Amino acid sequence: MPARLTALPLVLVGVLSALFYGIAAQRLSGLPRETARPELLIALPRFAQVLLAGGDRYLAANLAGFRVLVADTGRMSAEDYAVQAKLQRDIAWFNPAHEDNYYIAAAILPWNGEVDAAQYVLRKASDVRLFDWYPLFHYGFLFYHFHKDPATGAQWLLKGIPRVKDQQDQWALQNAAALWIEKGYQTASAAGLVDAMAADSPPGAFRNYLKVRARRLRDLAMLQDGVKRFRERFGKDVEKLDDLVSSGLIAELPTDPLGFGYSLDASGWPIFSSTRSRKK
Amino acid sequence: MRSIFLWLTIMFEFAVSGLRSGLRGKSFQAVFILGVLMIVIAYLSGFFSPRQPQTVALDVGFSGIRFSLVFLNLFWVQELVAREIDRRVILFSLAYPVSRGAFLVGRFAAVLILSTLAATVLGLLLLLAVVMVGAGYSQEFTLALGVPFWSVLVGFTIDAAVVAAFALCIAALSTVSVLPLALGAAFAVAGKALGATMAYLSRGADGDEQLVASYNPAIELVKWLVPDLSRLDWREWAMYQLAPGAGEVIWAVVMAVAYIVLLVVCASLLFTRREFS
Repeated sequence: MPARLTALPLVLVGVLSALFYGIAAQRLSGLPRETARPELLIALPRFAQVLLAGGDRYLAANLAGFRVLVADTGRMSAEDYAVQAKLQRDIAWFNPAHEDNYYIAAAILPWNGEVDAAQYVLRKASDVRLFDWYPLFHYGFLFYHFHKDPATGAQWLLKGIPRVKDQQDQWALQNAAALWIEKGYQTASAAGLVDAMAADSPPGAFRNYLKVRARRLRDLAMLQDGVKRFRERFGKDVEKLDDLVSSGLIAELPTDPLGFGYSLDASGWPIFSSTRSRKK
Repeated sequence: MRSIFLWLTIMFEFAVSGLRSGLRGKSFQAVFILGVLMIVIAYLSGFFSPRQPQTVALDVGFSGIRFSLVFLNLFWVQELVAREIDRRVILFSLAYPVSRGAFLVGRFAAVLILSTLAATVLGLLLLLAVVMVGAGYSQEFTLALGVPFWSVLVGFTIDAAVVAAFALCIAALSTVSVLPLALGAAFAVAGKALGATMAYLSRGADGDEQLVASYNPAIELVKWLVPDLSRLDWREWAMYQLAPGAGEVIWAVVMAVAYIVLLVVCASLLFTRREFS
């Protein structure tokens, strides 16, 4: 049989498969993709995580760390944050010195109702990273901002001072501690600290997230300042935030970049609307 | 005196022939490529980190090197000992007028040398990857890539040598050539996870008293049988400049070396009594 004839069926099969491939690819591109939730879903027990990492707890820490890092905070619910909190606690246990872990824990968890977890992670990091003052700073900030306990927060800041190598940073930390003790909690001051955290992060989504948090705090501080001035000027409380605009104290109400908005508490003081809270 | 010299000469010959076939082996090349791939993964994983890209790359790279070294050691033991027994090539080797122990010690020495070579090459590649990751963003806390870095690799090489000694012991008595590989891998995971398990239980297992009560006696027993290989992991020194205590390092090395010697002696004794049909 001539060689051409034997090659013919092979060529036919090749052409047919190319055809089927093209049809299949074309059909698939039209089909809607089943959206797997990219968020955190479940967290395995610590022991299982170590075993899956071949017994290597540092690898287990990194694998869990990557899960935390790729999660899209914009799409996460309170349950997802609870899982993230568990994962970050686990990472802190596998490798307490993990820098990304404590930094992300400080920047994300407490703002989403997971203050206890953030405290756990930061405490573990500060116990091991004796060369690093940031965990103590963030730990102090949790007391300052979330527990509204500036005095305790300031104490943690002062504990961090011996770890600071730069003289300027040392003074800044001392100054912040003194201000916290002297003036108590101030939203504008919290906004400044979150802004500093953002400036300290590499450019990208994480820095933008912190900037948004800082902007919300600044706007809230602006509203609180407006209410204070309203009380001074008119000798009464505002009934609704719009009163600040109608009285000419602020030009317009700020829009919340996270979509929660701002409202007044029972005493007529501006707060974030329906912040997500979760009790352990 | 003359017999010792002869023993050493023949042991050396076994080591050299082991080195040759170890470097030529296909499984060695495959696992080595895997090791290089892991270094590439380490390089890429650095980009996941917002604050410490170099540390993460180094950390993942260390895990990759440890994993590769353990598997390389297991493959070498399988290829240089277990498969030789399987293929009956061993009968030619045992025709020398020395004890069978010389064969095992020679082959173990070959595995050690090969492992040191692999650790050096993979270490250099990891260094390159870490330096390349650092080109984009200078992180605040710098790494210790000198003596601490190489000390970590020494720790991993010793860790892999313990696993190799265990596999050697299994190869000396096993009639199935893949058994050293399978049991050796299980031993490597168990030894490495032991430290984390003991720490978890000793700190109360997150308040789960039942778990502590049921597993603690077993772990107390296992820790005498399986060495805590996580004690040979000093990576925090290179990653965070947190040097381990001298006592910690010395006792970890003593534990590992003693365990290796014990296993090699056991392997020699078992091998001497073994009958080849």
